[in-house]
Amino acid sequence: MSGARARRSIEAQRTLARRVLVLPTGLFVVVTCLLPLALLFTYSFYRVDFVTIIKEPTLANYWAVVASPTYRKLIAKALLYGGGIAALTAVIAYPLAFFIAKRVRVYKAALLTAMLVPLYTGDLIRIFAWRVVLGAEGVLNSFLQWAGITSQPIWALLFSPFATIVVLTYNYLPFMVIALWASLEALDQAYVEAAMDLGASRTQVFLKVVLPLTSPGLVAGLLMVLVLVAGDYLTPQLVGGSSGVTITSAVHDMFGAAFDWPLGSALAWSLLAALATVVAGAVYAFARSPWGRGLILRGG
Amino acid sequence: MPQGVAAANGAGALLVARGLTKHYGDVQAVRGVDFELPSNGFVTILGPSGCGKTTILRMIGGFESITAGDVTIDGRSLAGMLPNRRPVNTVFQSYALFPHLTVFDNVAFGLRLRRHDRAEVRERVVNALATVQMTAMAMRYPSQLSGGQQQRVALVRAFINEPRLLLLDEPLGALDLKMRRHMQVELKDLQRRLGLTFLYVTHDQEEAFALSDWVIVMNAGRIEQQGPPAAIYHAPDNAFVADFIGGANLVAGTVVAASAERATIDCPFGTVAAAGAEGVAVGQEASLCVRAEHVRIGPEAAACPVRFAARVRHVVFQGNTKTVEARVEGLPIVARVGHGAPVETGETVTMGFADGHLRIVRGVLAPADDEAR
Repeated sequence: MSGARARRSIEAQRTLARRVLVLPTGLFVVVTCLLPLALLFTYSFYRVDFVTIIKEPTLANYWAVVASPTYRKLIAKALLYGGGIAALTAVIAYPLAFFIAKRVRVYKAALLTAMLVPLYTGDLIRIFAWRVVLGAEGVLNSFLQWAGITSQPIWALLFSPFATIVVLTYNYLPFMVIALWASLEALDQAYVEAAMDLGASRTQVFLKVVLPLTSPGLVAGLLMVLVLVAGDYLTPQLVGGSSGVTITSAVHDMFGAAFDWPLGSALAWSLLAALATVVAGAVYAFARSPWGRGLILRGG
Repeated sequence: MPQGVAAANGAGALLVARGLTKHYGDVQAVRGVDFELPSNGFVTILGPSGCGKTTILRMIGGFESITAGDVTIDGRSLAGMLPNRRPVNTVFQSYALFPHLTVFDNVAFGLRLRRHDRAEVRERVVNALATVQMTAMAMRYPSQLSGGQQQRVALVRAFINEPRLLLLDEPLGALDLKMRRHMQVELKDLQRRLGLTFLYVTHDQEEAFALSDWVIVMNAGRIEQQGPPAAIYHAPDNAFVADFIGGANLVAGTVVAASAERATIDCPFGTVAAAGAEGVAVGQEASLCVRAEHVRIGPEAAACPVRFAARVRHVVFQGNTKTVEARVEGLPIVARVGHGAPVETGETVTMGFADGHLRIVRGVLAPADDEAR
């Protein structure tokens, strides 16, 4: 009886301790993340009259977003680029992550750090570096002409969707590599050996064992890159040329030059909702798939 | 005794290993071993951890390259053959059941790779699961199974592919004692029913003896002795085997006379003549070997040719028997006697080695061997 009470009291203390410890982090998230979003959400229901924000609830902003083919297209474009770049980085990152996780022994940390070095230099510097590479007078065009492969610079290398895709892929590749590397590192070699033992070729080992068992990492990487690319407006703007308009730059314009915070907020929330839907859908589909069920049961 | 194993030239053997060697840099994991496996039998490689037994299994499975020597199955060399092309399947120590697949899909994995049609796969998987009473678990995931159930699934997943040889790497290591005993019976039974060759690796001599037709005892990358369990137990060749298998009493000495079957050793108990192991030669260091159950105490020791007074240090009760640890002039002697034997800790008793159970084996126990246990 008293034992049970003592136990309960210890339980209660633990619960209390856990709550107290979580408090600072929770507070930080609420103040710096949820509060601004909530504010934005509120603003998305206001409207602007010349230079004053009229605080009367209205759905007009959302209607404007939904009714406008331009905004719809821009949101779709953000998701398309996000998904496309995510897929592209995954294809490039798998062999790289596999190499680092399974073949490198001594220089593992060094390689991973080296891969992250470009991230230290900042967005702008990386983007401008690519302008030097891809520009009409740039490294690539100069080389192609010097080698006699082309007689004139290829203008489409820069200020084109191609340039945007190249730079975005380069920019977000490390995130995918890290996500895949972590799950490949955790992949027990015994599964690979078991698959080979049962008669699987290298391709079959990858498709039937490595891919499913690292799919939690893949899903995490895909979602991370998707969200980051969808929110990136510097890269398309600086190397995308006329194709460089994005939903984020539209939001930026609304809060800046256009001074239409409510519409900007509605645009931002529409993008957020679209991304949330995709992310939730992907996670749900994964969790419901036969692979996902097995992995979740294992706690993987 | 399995047929084929005895065939010295390898005729009729399923697998023949000749001079099989594995080096990892400077480490010599396997130092040139020779053995054969029959086409239907249960063979165990027994040895302490780090003796190279798992490495041999992995070389046969194709997960380690062969440094030197060769392994053939049905006369075909395995060197350079990819694991997925070898006519062997492995039951891994960790089971390595694919966590993202159900029991059914795990078991069907190999069959599907060989492009059997759906109906056939289904029928064979269901039948195979039935042989280990796992049909009801077909739709579960590995993480929902107990250790013993996972073990069975791993077994079925391997043998359903009808390999020529099934490799088992300490498959019962993770199970509790009761489950181990149960699975040992099932394994042996399964091997008989399937009629294929099991190559089993363990460090547990009781398990090796319970299961095997043929035991290969390894130490430090070499084969110390191989033969049927009874021969290994009753007629060990050298001090390592005598000690590793059932922990015999070993008294170091020097061989003073040796003929074909008999030898005489000069040891702290005097000059003793006994059965001699193969290769025991005059002038060599050797050990007088006597099993604990062949050490007599008190009046029973009267008829023994070797008798001495020893001080009893411990008496360990073991149900029907008790184990007596005694010391004579610093030399430890272990005896296993009936539970009624009148012996108490601290006493000085007369002990003796029973006639007809003494054996002189090659070598003396190195301290390293002691640690390896």
